[in-house]
Amino acid sequence: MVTRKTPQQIKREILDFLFEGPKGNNEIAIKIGSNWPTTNSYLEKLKEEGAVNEILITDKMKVYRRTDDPVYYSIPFNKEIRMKTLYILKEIEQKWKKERGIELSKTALQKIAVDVIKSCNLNLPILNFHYGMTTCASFDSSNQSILNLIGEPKDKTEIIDCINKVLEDKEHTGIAYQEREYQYKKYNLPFYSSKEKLTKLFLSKNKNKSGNKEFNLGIQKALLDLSLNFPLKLEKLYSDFEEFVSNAQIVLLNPNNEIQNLEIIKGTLVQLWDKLTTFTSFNDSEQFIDKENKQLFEQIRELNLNFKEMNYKGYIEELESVAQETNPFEIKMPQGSSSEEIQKLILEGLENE
Amino acid sequence: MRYFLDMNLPIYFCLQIGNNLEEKAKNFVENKKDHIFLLCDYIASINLPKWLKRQKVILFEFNQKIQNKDYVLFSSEQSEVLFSQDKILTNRLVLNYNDAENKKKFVENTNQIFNLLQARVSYFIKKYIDNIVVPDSEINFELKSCLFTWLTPNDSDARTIASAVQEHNNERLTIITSDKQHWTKELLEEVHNDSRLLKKYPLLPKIEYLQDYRP
Repeated sequence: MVTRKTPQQIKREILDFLFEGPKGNNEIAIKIGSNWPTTNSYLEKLKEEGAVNEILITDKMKVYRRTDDPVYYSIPFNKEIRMKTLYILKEIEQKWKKERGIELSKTALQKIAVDVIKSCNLNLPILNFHYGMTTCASFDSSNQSILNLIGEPKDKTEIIDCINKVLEDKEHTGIAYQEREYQYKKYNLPFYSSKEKLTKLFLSKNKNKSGNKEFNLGIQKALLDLSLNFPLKLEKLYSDFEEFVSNAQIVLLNPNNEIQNLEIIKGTLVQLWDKLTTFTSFNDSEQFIDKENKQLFEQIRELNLNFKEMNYKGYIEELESVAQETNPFEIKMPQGSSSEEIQKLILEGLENE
Repeated sequence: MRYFLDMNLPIYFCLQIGNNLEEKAKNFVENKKDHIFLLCDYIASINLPKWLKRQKVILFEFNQKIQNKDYVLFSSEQSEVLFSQDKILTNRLVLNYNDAENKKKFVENTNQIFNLLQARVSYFIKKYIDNIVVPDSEINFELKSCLFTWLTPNDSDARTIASAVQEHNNERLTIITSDKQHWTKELLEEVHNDSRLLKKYPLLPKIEYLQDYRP
């Protein structure tokens, strides 16, 4: 006798399938053994319940994902990558809690997991995300629905050994900012260190007792430090970065710079950083994408990069207009012999055009 | 008077070295009064933006090299846009940095000068240029080719001077430049050695040199 699946079972089946990554409605229909209209009605119901949403809509198909998809940007990594990454995150969190009796911050969890993946040479993606290197997924121990789906990988014993070794490292304090700083130092990530310093400086503005001039000078130096540490692998986005730095420097050099302009600089930096690290995250993911998911991966990448670009554009245009209000001739060129030497070199280059 | 500006003039004006040409450029601009300053579209939309872009790449290369000794200069993709003189400039900047007593200050100054220069050039165009003339697509090919014969391999100068000659035939202008070597009366007269060009451009603009400028 054939037993019909209940609507609840079908919806569960769809959600379990989407745990493996975003899927097109055709794939979902095949998986649950239903025709399109039936599948679509279940997907609509799940959408109304807030359990799924469309990540892509084309003329021919819709691609769905779980709204609680733990993978960043819902990048279509295969099931094994997703499962193993989440398993590592879950084990670290549980072990930390068991041994130290406190919850591990999300940042610290990611930093420790990266150490595990690297020290054990596990073939899993590590993304250069906005707060340094992370795994490809976030972990939420309160999401029982996801927790139930995390199975044990074949190399469980090796992974557990590895986690134990990494947790012996006393530099892992579990405190978010210390974990970030430790990772940036350990893996030589000066661009991230510079960004961290700049962010701290912005945050210190409210506490800052010194005058605006001194604060501006501090921001200028931190921006220069960021420029000097700009990584070659981000070269494709250098013109965006340079556009931000040069406009911000002009605003900061303006002796009449107003406090609200700092907010514009800060906001633009946040959007720029988001754009840069989305770019790197997708680049770092690319090699781990199965052939059959390459097209979907590219579509998701394009969608995200366009979105970040749009956000950034609004901010940089505002910063540019503030910079353009500044008369750059009111800002003196640096004084001294080295300044003259540099300008003479520029002039020689021009005269040899 | 309508002055047609060579590309070097805005840059002299934007620098702060204290040399003779810079002083002359500053005097010239500050005595603008009712004079009209013209820039051709080729300089405003193509040559100057390209030059500024190359300055950004020079700064990128400099910053990469001083931060990482192992970085091979000009190994970035964007450095493909650099001309040989840009590479010489980058190398000399790095050499000067190596010799600098206060390296930190040298880096700060370099970054500030390159950033400020970009902003100043853009501001100069906005504030002092009254008209951008002769769309690049409308530069007369025969006229440009004639000038290029004598200016080879400097296509930029050929386009710029051709723009000046064309605009002069719409309304009188005077060219102002610091390039005494190439931008000469004799060069302009070559245009009239071609009968068709003579017919089309019967009048040639006067050239004044920044070096000789008296307010």
